[in-house]
Amino acid sequence: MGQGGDTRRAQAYDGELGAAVARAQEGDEAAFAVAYRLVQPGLLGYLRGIVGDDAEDVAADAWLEIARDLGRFQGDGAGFRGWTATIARHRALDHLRRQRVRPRPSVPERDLLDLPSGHSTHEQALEALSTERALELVRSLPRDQAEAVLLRVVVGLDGPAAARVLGKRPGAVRTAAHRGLKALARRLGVTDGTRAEPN
Amino acid sequence: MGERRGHDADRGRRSAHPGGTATGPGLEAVLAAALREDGVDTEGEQRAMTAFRTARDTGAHRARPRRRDDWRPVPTPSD
Repeated sequence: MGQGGDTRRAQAYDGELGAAVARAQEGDEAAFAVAYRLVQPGLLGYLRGIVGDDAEDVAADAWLEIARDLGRFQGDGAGFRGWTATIARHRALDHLRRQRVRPRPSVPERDLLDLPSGHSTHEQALEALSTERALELVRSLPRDQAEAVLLRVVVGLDGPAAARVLGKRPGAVRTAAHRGLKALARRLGVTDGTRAEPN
Repeated sequence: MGERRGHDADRGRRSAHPGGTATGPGLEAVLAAALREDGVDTEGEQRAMTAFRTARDTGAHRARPRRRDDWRPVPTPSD
């Protein structure tokens, strides 16, 4: 699969990320903060697609482990994104397993105008809506497709890295990502060239 | 990390035929923009910083790599 649009953004900072991780491993805490800020948006987006509202809690668990095991990591910026995604995924799967054992009370449907920042401009309302909609669509995919799409598009991993995070063959992950994106395109009414009526 | 190009590597990139759905860079960019969570996360960052300092100061960062921690790029043989 090709690398599209904003997936390049995740990769654009890989040089900076790799350097920050190396300094953090030497004890530089400002460098660790840099790494956190570069990685967290993709990590949180990925987790949101898997565990929904509990993404922050799962991310916090993941960062405890990332911070603790930082000295063991070997690799560059792209590798760090793969390594952290693997840790986050394990925490997410643990979380899902615990949920199955202890059923949660049903969560009321999130008010689409209930914006986290507390501000409610028209623009932010649109942004909130599109994120809500994108999440709703991704979370409606079979989980293997959702994960493949999220790892490729939101975390910005390439094929081999996504396959390693998922513990699957690259071909299977490529197929899952392709199917997931096709399904999303269909639901969003995206035809080639022109955009159809929004759902 | 480079992606090895197999014979079907590019088929997933764009699926566009008359009346068909277009996957590809445009859709991926829209999804990335909608799903990446770019807000400032002070509380989460502070918790992570505390965990970092504790790990550093207790010597956890001197632990040896395990195989799962080795994410060094694999050299790609020239095609």
